[in-house]
Amino acid sequence: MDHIIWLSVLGAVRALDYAMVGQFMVSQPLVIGGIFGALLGDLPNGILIGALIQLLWISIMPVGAYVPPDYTVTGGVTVILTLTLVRQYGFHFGTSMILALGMSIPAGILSGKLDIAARHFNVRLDQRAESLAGKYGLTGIAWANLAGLGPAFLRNFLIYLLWLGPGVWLAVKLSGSMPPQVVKGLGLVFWILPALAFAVVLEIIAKDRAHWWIAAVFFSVGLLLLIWPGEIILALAAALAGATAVVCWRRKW
Amino acid sequence: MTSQLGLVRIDDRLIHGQVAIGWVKTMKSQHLVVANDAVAEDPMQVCLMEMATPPGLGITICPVAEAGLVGSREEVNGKRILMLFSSPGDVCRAVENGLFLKELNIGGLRYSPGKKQITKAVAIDEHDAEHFRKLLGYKVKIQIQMLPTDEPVDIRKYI
Amino acid sequence: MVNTPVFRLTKWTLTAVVWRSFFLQACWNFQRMQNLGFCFAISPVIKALHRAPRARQKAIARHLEFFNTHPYCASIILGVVAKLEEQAAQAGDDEAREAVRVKIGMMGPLAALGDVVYWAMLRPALALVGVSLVLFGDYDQVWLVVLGPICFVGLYSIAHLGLRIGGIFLGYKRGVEIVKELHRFSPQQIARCLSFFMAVMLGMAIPAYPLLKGWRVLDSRMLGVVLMALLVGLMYFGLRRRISVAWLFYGLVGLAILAAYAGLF
Repeated sequence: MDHIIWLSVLGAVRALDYAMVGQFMVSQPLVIGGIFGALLGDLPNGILIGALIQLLWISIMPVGAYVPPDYTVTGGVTVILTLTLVRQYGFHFGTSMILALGMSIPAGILSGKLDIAARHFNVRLDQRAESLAGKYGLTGIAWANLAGLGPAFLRNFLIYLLWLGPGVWLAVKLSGSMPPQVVKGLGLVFWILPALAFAVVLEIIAKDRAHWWIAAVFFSVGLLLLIWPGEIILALAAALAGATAVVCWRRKW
Repeated sequence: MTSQLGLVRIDDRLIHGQVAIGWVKTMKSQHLVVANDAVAEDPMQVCLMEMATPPGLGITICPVAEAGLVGSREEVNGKRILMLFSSPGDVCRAVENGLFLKELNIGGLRYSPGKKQITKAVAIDEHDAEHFRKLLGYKVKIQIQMLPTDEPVDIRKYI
Repeated sequence: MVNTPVFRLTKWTLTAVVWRSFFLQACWNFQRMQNLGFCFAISPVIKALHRAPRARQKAIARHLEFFNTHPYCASIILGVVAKLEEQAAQAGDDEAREAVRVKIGMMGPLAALGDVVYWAMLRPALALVGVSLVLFGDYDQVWLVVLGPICFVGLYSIAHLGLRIGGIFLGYKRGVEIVKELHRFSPQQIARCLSFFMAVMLGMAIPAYPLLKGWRVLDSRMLGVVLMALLVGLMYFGLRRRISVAWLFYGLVGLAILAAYAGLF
C-alpha cells in the first residue's frame, strides 16, 4: 500500500514534465519505463514496455490549443501494472503487458479530459493574477503561475492511485480467470504490436511519395541482408550509409 | 489552369502548428496565401512567414485588398490554396474587393478584454459578430473548427 | 525625468529568464493561454528595468496579454523582448510598443516552426532511434537496452536545451535581426531530412523485427515478413480511415482472441 502511494507521487511529479514544466521528455514512456522498471527491479522489461507504448503514440502531440489524451500516463500505469502482475503474481509477461495496456488506455483518456477541465479552471487563476499583480507585483504573478501546477499534480496522483490500487486488484482477478484462448490471444498481440507502431510511423512520413520509395528500397535491403548473412550489424551499417546518402542527395534539392 | 481555393481560415496567429501540420496535410494544400496588411508591410514578418511555411509549399503574402486577385499570380497558378486572414473584418474587406468565397473556417481569435469567449480558441466581440453577419449575408458558410479532427460548429449558434 | 539611470540587463538576469522559461506552460489557460507563463518568465527583466511601481505595473499588464507559441521557440521571443524592453527603458519609454508588436508577430510563425521541427519530426525520429535500440537490443546485453532511453533523452536534450538557452541569449544579443539568422539556418530543411531519415529507419525495421524475433509462418521466415508487412498495411489503412490508435489496439486484441478460438496458431 505504501509503495503504491510513493509510485503515484512519482508518477504525478514526472507527469508535470509532459506539458507543464520543462518538457525535458523524462515523462515519455520510453524513459518512465526505465525509471519504474528500475524501481520495481526489472529495468530491461520496464524499458521494453515503455518502448512499445512510445512507438504507438509517437506522432501524437499537443498542437496549439489542442489537448490530446495523455498517453504518458498510460505508459507509466502500464509499466507498473505489468511488472506487478509478472513479479508478484507470476503471470506471463506478454499477456500481462497487453492486459495492462488495455486497462490503462482509459487512464490516459481520462487524464487528457481532466487536463482540458484544468485549463478552463486556469482562466480563473489568470483573472485572479491581475489583482494579485496589483497587490504583490511580480510575486503575485509567480504565485498565480505556479498555482497551476497544483491541480495537475493532484489529477495525475489520483489517476495513478486509482489504477494502481483497485486497478491491480482487477488485473489480478482478470488474469486469474481468463480462458486459455484469451491468454494465447493476448500473448500474440504482444508480438504483433510493433506492426501497429510501424503503421503509425508510416502515417507520419506518408505525406511525400518519395518517402514511400525510400521505405520500399530499404525494406528490400533489410530483407536481403537479414535473410542472407543474417547480421544485424551489417543491416544497421547499410541503413546508416543509406540514410546519409539520401540526406546528402536530397539536401541540394 | 486556375487555382483552387481549398481552405480559407481566420486565425490571428496566421501560420502556426495547427495550420502547418494539421490543415496542410488534410487539405493537401500546395500554396499558402497570407492576406494581411501589417505582415505585407513588415519585412521581419515576411521573413518569419517564409520560415514558417511547411516544406514543399509555396507562399504568397499580400495586402487584404488584393486577396481576390491572388489566384491569377504566376506562382499560384494551378495550385490548391490555403488562405489565411487574421480577422473577420479583413475577410469582409477581401470579399468586398472581389474575393469569391463559399466557405470560411475560423481557427483562432484570441481573447482580449471586452470579448466573449465562445469556444476554446475563439473569442469575439460585437464588432466581429457584425462582420460575420455581413459575410453570412454574402452566402458564406462559416464554421468554427480548430483542427481537421474536430467537429465543425456553425457560427450562427453564437451570433 | 531627472537623472535617468542606465538600465542594462546582465547575463544573470538572462539566466534567470532561462530557468523561469521552463515554467512557461504551468498555468496554461484557454483564454490567454501562455500569458501567465510568459509574464512569469520575463519578470526578472521587468524587475531589473522598472523600479517605479507605475512603470512596473504597466510592464506586467502588457506581458499578461494573450500569448501562445511553441514552448521551446518561446526562448527566442523572450530574448528579443528582453532586448526591446531594455532599449525602451533606456529611452525612458514605459510603453515598449515595439516589444509588444514583435512578440505578437513572432508567436505564430515560431509556433509553426517548433511544431514542425520538434513535435512532428525531431521527437518521433529520436524516439524511433531509442525504441529501435530497445527492440533490437540483445537481452543478454542489458546496456544496449538501457542505451535506448539514454540516447533518446540525451540527443533530444542537446537539441532543445541548445535552442532554449541559446535562443534567449542570442535573441537578446541580436534583437529582431535573429529572424534572418533563423531563416538562413533553414529549419524546414532539417525537418525534411529528419523525415527521410525516418523513412529509412522504418523500411529497415519492418523486415528486421519479425526476422530477429524468429517469426515463422508455415515454417518460413519469408512468410513471417510478409505477414508483418500485411499487418502494417492493415493498420495503416485503419489509421487513414481516422481510426485512433487506441481503437486499433483494441481491434487487434479482439482479432487475436478470435484467431486463438479458431485455433489458427
